[in-house]
Amino acid sequence: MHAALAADEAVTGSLAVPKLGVGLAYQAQLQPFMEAKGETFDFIEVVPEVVWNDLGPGKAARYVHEAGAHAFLDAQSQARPVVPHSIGLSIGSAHRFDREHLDQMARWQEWLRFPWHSDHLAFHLAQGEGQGEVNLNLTMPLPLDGETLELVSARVLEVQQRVRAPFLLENNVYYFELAGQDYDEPTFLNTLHRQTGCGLLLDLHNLHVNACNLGWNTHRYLDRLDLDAVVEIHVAGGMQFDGFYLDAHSGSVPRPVWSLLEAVLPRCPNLGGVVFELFGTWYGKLGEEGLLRQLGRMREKWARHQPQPERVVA
Amino acid sequence: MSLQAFQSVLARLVTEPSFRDRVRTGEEADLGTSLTPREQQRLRVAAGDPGLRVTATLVGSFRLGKILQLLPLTRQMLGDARLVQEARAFWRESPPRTFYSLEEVIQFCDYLLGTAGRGPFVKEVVAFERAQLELRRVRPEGEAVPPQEVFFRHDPRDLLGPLSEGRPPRQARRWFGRLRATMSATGEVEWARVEDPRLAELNADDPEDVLDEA
Repeated sequence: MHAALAADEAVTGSLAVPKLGVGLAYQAQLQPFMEAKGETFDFIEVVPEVVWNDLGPGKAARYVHEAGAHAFLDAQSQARPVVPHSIGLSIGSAHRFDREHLDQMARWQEWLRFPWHSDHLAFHLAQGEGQGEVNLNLTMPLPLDGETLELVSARVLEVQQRVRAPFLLENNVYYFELAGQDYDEPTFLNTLHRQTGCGLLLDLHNLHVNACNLGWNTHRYLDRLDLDAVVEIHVAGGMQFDGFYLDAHSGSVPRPVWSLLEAVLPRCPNLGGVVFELFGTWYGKLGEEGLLRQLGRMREKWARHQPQPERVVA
Repeated sequence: MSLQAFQSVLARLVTEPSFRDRVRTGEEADLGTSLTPREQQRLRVAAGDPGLRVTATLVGSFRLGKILQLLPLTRQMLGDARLVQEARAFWRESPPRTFYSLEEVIQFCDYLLGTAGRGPFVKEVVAFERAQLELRRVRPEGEAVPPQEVFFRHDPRDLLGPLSEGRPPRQARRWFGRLRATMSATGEVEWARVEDPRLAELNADDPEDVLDEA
C-alpha cells in the first residue's frame, strides 16, 4: 500500500493527483520486461478486465482473479503505483449501469490505493434485439447530445461516490461519426468536467486516428479542450487497414503523436502521467530496444515540460 | 428509452451484415418507433459509412482471434477458409456476449457439434478441444472441476497425432472408446482411457482394422 496515496487523501471529484511521470500499460507478455527494466518507467497502468474473469452480473463471487497476473501486480504495487484503466464499465450504455463493477473497483482501490482510475467515454454493452445483452468488445461512439450528457454526468457522480479516487474518461476513437450532434467532443468533455469534476484521459493516438480517418484538426481540438482537466495522456502506435488507420496499439508512436505530446505537455498543469500502450502480441515485433526507445522519449519530454516525478513508495 | 433503442440498432448494424445492408439500401424501412427522426437519420447514414464496416470487421476479428487461439486442432482440421465460414454462420445466430474467450469458444464448439455433416473426424476433434476448454473454464473459488469424457469413433492417435504436427489426418482406424480428461493439481489436462466392456465388444467385432478416409 502506498502511504502517500491512502484513500483518505484522495479528493473525490477533484483532480489533485501526484506527478507520477512515465507509465507502461500492463500486458502479460510484458511481465519479464517490467521486472527487468523497472527503472525505465514510473508506474503501471492495467486493464482490470485482463486480470479478473467476470462470471456475469448477479453471480456470487462474480470476479475471479487470474492468480498469476494478480500476484505480479501485487508485487509490483510494492515498488510503484498501479493505476486501473477499465474497459468494462460501458458508462454510456442506456439500458443498464453496472454498479457491481463499481463495487469491484472500490475493492481494487482498497487493494492498490491507486491515485486515479479511468474508463472510456463510450458504450460497448447494448440491449440485444429480444435476445439478451450484446457485448461488442469495442468502444462505440455515444451521440454527443444533451441526453447523453445527462446520463453520463449522473453516472460519473456515482463513480466518484463509490470509488474514492479521481475518475477520468478517455476521449474515444471512432471510425465513423454520428451526424448532427449537439456538441463537438471537446465541448462535451469540457461540459462534463465542469458539471462533475470528471478528469480527462487524453488519448493522443485516438485523436490522431480520428484526424486520419475523419479529417479532424488535432490542434483546433486541443485549443478547444480544457487542458486543466487532463490527468493522464496515452500514446500508442497503429496500422493501416482497408483504407483506414487503426488504433491497433501495434508498435512505435508515430511522429504526429510525438508532436502532439510535445505540444500539450507544457499546457496540462494537472497531469499525473503519460502511458505507452502496446498489445502484448506486438511486443515481439517492437522488441525490447523499441520499447525502451518509446519510454526514453516519453521520459525526455516529461523532463522538459513537467516537474520531476514524485517518488511514491510504500 | 430512445437512446437505448438507438444503441440496440447501432449494435445490430455492427453484428448483422445483412441488416446493415437492408438499412443502407432502404429495404429496412422501420428501425423502431421509439427512435427520434434524428436517431433514425444517424443510423441510416452510419449503415452506409465505410467506417461502420471497419468497426464490424474489428469486432469480428476479435471474435475470430479467440477461436484461432483456442482451437488450434479444429483449425488444422477444417482449414482457415472453412473455419471462418463456420464462424460467420455461428455469429449469425449468436451475437457477441462476453469479453472472455473461453465462454464464447465453448459455445462455438457446441455449435459445430450440433450441426451434422461436417466430415467423419471433425466432431471428435472439436469434442476433444472442447473438453480441454471446459476444464479450464473459470469457476467460482472452491467449485470442483468436473471431469470431461469424449466419445471417439476413431483411434485418437490417428486423429490427434497428425494434427499436432500441423496437418489434417487423411485416414484413421475405426475404434470405439471413451477418453476422460481431468485437471491435475498442477493445472495440466490429463487424459485416460475409460474401460467399457460394451465398446470393447464393438471393437472386437472388427477383426481387421477398418480405415475411414477424411
